[in-house]
Amino acid sequence: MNRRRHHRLGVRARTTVAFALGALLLSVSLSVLTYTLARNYLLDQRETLAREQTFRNAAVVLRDLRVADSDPNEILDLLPGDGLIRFGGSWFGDTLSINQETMPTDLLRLVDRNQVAQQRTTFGGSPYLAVGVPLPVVAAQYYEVTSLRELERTLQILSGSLVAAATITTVGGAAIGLYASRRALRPLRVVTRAAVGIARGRLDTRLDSDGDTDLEPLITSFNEMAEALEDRIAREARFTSDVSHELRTPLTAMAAAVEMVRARRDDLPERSRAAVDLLARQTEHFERLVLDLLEISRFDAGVAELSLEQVDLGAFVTQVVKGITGGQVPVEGPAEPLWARVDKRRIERVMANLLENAQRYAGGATRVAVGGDGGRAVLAVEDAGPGVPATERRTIFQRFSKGSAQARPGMAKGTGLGLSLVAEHVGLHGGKVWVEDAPGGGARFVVELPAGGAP
Amino acid sequence: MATRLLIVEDDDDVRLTLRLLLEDEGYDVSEAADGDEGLARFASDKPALVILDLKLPGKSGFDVCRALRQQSDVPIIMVTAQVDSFDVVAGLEAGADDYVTKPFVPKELAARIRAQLRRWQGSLSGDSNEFHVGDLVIRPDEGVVLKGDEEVHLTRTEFKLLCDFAANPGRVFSREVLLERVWGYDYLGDGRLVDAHIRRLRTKVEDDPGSPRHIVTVRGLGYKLVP
Repeated sequence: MNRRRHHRLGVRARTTVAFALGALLLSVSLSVLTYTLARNYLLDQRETLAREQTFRNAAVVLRDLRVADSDPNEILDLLPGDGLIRFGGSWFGDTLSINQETMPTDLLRLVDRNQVAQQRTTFGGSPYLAVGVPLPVVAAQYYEVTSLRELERTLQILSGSLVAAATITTVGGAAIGLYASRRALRPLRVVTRAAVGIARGRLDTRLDSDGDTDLEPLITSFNEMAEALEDRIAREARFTSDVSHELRTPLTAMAAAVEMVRARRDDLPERSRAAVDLLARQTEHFERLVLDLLEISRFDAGVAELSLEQVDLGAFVTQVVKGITGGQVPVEGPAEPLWARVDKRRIERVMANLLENAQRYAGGATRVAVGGDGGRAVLAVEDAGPGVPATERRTIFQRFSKGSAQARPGMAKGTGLGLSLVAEHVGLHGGKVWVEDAPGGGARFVVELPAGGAP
Repeated sequence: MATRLLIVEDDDDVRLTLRLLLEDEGYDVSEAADGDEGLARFASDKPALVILDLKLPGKSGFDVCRALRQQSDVPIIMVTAQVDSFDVVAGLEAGADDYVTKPFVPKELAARIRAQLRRWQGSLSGDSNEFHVGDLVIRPDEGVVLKGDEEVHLTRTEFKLLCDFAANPGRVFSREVLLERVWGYDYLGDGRLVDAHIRRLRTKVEDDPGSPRHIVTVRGLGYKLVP
């Protein structure tokens, strides 16, 4: 599952994300390291300075307290920094920024045990370093606090810069990833374009070698593949063309000869007349079968080509249906011209096959409708027959499929290829065909084609 | 005397049925089984129209078509096995006027032949039966087109096309309309017929066929003549 999810992202997106993540990881760890080192160093330095000053001041306090009747407050006034003296059970040096409440209890306890101690603390929202020095000789204690606000500000600026640097690095990493992947994928894009060209039928598409030895094998084998494909399709096309010619030529002679005899039908004796009719029917069936098979083989060989023209489908289908049915089937066309680029011959075959299908299985089409909106045109052929059972609505478009429908008595046998050819012709246009229930019962075959464009 | 047609077709049976069929239609038919014989027959029998199979042994139908075009404006109907093949376009480029595909319906072939043999019948405006288009002079009754002082040799189809345009200057003819007027097709005519003949006509009457000034394309609609 996870694998699959990964692969939903394209190579470029993945490379970009990987580069960005790499850059992020690198810059974050470097930043954290830099910050930690800088912070420890600066703090250490600040604490050492504070301690040294406290010791110096403590020495002054000790010296002065040895003098009898000295006033601790006076001593403090002369000292630099904010000091606090605990002497004779009282605290001296209560200022705005410091009093005995400022001192953390842990610190007091340590100093009470005659140990030099220091602790970081906050007072009034600002960070301080408090240092306490016991002065056992005079039974006093000296405390001093140093503001760490400056240091904190410095560290804030540092961390801000580091976050900015990390962000820039990450974005830069992503940009490099994008650029690198784009460059790396350029040959792939060229190959893709060539493959698309071949898929669209430009079989002579080849890749140019650009002298990159890494890509040479790909280019060579791609070109070989394209060459083989072109050869193969040309062979197929030649073969179907040859077969077509070989089969159509005798058919031509046969059909024309039968037609001529049939034109003289009235001159023939009764029995010969029946035989000629049979011959004519069978020739016609055979002709249809051969033509349908040739058409199918052209689809299978991949050599069926669309000969597209911009056509007003409403007018065209109306004419086609009129030509085929002799005006017996009403056609409802759109009021406005309905333009579409179609292969007229193929659309004529589609309509002929659908109408013939209706004729054979449903007693004839009752109505043909042409409509459309936006980018599509819809041609519908309706009949009043038994309809097509839901289970057969897909299979009837397959070759030689035998639906449950029975041909009407007296109808010639079909080739079994008509509807599959309809599907092939429509598919070649990029459209689709399906069958549904007609509003009044019966079947409704619907052909949907891409449409649009100016006249 | 009956109109004489020439059939160039290598298959004996097809040739025979074609002959019977066309004789039924009242034509006088001469036959040839290959390209060289076809050209010889053309020279000796002087047919009014040639039916030419494109797939011939030896000299191909395309070569025969080109050879005929060099010496004559006779209507040529080619017979091809496939509709959507390159053959149709190549045949039209070689100078064929129309085509039928095997197996053809006899009535269809007869209709194509009649359409090709029909002379141009345009609606001549007033007394003038001479059109002037740029440096072109067109005389429909005489079947003559002059470019400057020189006569331009057009095939019948090209001539019919040009006369239709010249008689209706500025009118846009869709492919369908031209197919109906010039070739006698109903709705199923092949637009490639029109395009190929317009191309050939342009090479003969335009100064620069690449950017035509007189027979211009109206995109999506068709063609029109600019005097």
